[in-house]
Amino acid sequence: MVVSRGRPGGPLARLAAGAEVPVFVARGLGAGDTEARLLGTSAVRVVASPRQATVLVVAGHVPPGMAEPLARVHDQIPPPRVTVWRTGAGAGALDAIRAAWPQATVVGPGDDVAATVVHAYREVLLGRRPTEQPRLADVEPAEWRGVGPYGQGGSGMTGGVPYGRPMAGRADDLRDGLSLDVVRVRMGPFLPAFPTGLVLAVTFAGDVVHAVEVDDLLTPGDGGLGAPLPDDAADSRGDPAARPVRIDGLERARCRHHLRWLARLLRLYGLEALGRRVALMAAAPVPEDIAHLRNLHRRLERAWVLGRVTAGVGVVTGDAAAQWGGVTARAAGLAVDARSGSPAYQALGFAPVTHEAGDGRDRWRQRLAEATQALELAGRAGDATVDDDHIEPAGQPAPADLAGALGTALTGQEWGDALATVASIDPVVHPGAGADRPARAEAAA
Amino acid sequence: MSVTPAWAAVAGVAGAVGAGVYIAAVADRAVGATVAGERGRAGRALGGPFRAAALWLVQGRATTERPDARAWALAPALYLGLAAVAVSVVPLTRNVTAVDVDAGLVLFGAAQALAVIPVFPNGWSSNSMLPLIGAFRFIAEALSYEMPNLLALLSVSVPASSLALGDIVTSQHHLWNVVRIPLGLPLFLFAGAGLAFWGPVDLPDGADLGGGTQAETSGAHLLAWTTGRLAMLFAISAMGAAAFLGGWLGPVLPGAAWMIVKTVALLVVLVSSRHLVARVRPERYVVISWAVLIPLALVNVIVAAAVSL
Amino acid sequence: MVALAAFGAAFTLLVATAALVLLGRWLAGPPGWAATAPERVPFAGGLPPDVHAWNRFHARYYVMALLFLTFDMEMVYMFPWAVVFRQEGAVAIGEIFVFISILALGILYAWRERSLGWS
Repeated sequence: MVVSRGRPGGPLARLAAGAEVPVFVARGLGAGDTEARLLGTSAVRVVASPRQATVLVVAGHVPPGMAEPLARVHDQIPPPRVTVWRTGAGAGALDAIRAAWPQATVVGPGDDVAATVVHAYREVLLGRRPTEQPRLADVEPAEWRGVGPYGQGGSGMTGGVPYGRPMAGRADDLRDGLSLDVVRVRMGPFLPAFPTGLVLAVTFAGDVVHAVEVDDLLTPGDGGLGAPLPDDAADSRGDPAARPVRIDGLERARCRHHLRWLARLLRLYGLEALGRRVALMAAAPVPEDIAHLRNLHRRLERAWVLGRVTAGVGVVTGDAAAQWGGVTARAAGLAVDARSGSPAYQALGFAPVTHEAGDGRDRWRQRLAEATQALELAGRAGDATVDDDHIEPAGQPAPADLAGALGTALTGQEWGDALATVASIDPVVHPGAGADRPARAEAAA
Repeated sequence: MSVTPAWAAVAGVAGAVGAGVYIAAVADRAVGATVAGERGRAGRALGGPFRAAALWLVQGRATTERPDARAWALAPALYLGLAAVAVSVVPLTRNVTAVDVDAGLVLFGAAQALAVIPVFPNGWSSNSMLPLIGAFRFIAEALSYEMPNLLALLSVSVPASSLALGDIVTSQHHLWNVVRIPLGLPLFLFAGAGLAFWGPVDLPDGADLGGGTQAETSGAHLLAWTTGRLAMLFAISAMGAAAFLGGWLGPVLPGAAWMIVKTVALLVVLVSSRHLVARVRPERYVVISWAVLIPLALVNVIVAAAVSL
Repeated sequence: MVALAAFGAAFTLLVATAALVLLGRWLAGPPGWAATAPERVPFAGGLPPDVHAWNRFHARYYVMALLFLTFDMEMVYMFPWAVVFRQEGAVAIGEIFVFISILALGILYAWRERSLGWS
């Protein structure tokens, strides 16, 4: 830092140490309730871009394919920067992280991540702890070719690769046929609005999605850092020791999952304070919260809150909805629910909730209705259990042809609508866990 | 036409903008905490803006691979400058105006039209896709809110037969414009929020673009940018208070106190919209602006004309 | 002259404020720390970009921009109308109504041609 007043430890830094901590959350697999806990803390502000953050919080398991994007996100945070890892209690997980990220603070599932974040932030600002150095090597992306000083000249229009990257190519526009530039951007795994681990290579024509491809960074296998956190209704693998699965734990996990999703959706629409309120609710919902959920539903229905902006966005109906299954299908009117066939659920009077239109509005209505229903079932369930065949995962399963399904849903939409569609579908994107594995149940509340 | 010494005018505008930015930041935090259901300590909200500013001064200023550095540097500078110009035409009392011109309304309109220009390079200069989309979205938004804004402002100059803000305020001495030209203030506030792209109309800096034009900024640049946006909100509130709520006119308190009260009231309304209303979709905003708001604004002008005969 | 002096004051205010912001930005330190290439990669979730973001962006609202020009010119005529309206009397309402309705037909045409939306 050039000006001494602004250096960590100086008077400005001491004043800044009392500010709201800007945090960027990099969600790995099985991130659990980390983001919701941080959202619900008033001393912490979760930001949408790493440039505005000071603390990087990594949660869950980061597969080897996502290690380099994680390092890049870490480097994109301007100094002073500090990292906090939150991992599950896997074999040797903490030691592996400490070996790979020696300057980071590592916490386990039982620790208070928000307090750790605030403490680490203060330490680095007061100069008691050094700011972390960049992790990736300082290598220019591509060599300059070309003749002139700005990379111009030589063969081809721009003389090669100006400033290390090529310029955009052209394609005919979908709507009016003008042949203008299309830009292919790989929206990476740690974009906060995306589901965990989704990498979309979006081809933009202006701000409209021209084409979409799905990249896979989540190849299963050994390696990677961290372990999934427990109590993640969508991502965790079913524990054979936890059979038979209790209904009340399962339904409470479902409610928590849907509320955490709703907090992220509200933040996507700019309603940060309301998202914070929902995140606080998502921490530990009890059956008494059913009235709160109904109030919340009424509040969100108002036209200026979520009633109008989500209507008609990202309509997924018919065969496409059947391909998705899960919440998306039920929001489109298809009453497919694995719980319908279970005698234990039928004894509790369960009937699947559906909506008709299959747009963004019906998807959040569906999730909120299912969360309310889940709390009601949990309150009545007692000690009832359900067998493996009839467990309905809380997360949205991804279809086998995820690229095709997303392509159909997103192509031709303006980017804000496309992102809202992806966020409202929120598929669980990783091989092996989620789509065909049951949601993890809790032994006790 | 009063001729104020230059240093007094500049100091007045600087003080007003500083106070306005601080009040807007505190109101933002307070309303956010209330909506989130947190009962925070009052001290946190009052000291919050200073602490956040200190953090931005300590934090390094981010840059990207091949930005247009000069345009990027000018963006917050011009934006804050235009907000200062917009504040300077608004009168505090009958005799106290920083920049007292015959056509103060036109100068405000000019500052507002020019304010479109610095927002675009804030997104474009960083050579990054998400901010670029934000910048182009803002152009669409700006072209759409200009007309309702100018037409709403025009409607208050009809009863006054003048474009000078002092005359516009004095023309309200028996009835405020918000009562006799009812559509004016809502239209002005809605379109004015677009000028500072705040809350529901935050298209360039929205969360769906990872922070949009702010996504690649940090440190002192971000501090200047945020200050500019809050200063623009303050300018809109001040103009709304003068043009629609009767400025310094009011029974018991001195004129300056009334002006401050009205400005702060409008500022709190504008700032709190961010926590209560979701962000609009760009296409719907453009369609509503052209197909609904402009006809309403035109009807409003006819009503103002009829009322002032 | 006095009026010009006031406009000059506004311009000076603009330049002074802009200069102050630029000075503050410079004093707070150049991004000298951002010497490494990975720190300067644009953010898109963690992966580096394939091409430059600068491109011939398809700004789909170009028709609406033309409509905006029309209405901006209308505003130029409405400002003096507002100032002299009261002394001209009720006839002026009729005149401006005709003027406005011709332009409103432009909006109606643009709306029907679906040039206000873009996807």
